[in-house]
Amino acid sequence: MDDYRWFQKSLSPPLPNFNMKRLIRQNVNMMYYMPTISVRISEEDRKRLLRYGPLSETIRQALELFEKDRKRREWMTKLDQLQKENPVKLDPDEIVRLLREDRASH
Amino acid sequence: MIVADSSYLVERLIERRGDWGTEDLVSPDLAVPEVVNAVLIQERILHTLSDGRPYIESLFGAVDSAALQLVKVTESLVEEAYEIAMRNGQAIYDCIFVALALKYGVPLKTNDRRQAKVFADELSTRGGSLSQ
Repeated sequence: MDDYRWFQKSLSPPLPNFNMKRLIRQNVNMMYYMPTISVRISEEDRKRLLRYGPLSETIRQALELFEKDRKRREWMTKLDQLQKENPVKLDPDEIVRLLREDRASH
Repeated sequence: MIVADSSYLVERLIERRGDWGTEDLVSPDLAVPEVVNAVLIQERILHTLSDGRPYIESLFGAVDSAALQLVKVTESLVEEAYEIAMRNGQAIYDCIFVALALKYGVPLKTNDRRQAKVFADELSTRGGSLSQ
């Protein structure tokens, strides 16, 4: 039987305990739910940071910057390790020549 | 911020200099296939690399960590590069990097002396100065 026939023959759904309303509610919650975090800071810091706008936005931006910085450090360490394990000395003129050949071949 | 030519990116990616990441590099997205092809040649033809794949992974790591920002090659950038290429008798590829650096008003890092000269000439013609 084709997959859609269950609908034509009967209105009963193919899955047990199928609940369309619940499914929609879960998906909507997944779309809009954002976890909340609390950060304790001094009153002095709070006042100082408020100069730059709402605290939640400032913290959000700070977290983004933090992650970017960490990602970059991790990447730099990995690249350095790779280069250390494979010491290669390139001739800059040779690189340019190869790129020129590549560009000319297009 | 610095605009990096593919020749500069290849060198920074493969040779150990330990200073990539301390400055923000920007390149047009056409640099990616150029750099990857250069890595491929280093492995397949010149045998300077035993495996180029980790370097390619690292190139995308640079993009992911924003150490290298890729800029889409737009119509306006190509138009500008085209004019530069016509004036200087250079390939369009070289001039896209030059046009990008001029657009942002930042230095162009390249190992290609001809490209560097085009950039310097264009900059002096426009009487421009760099932001860095």
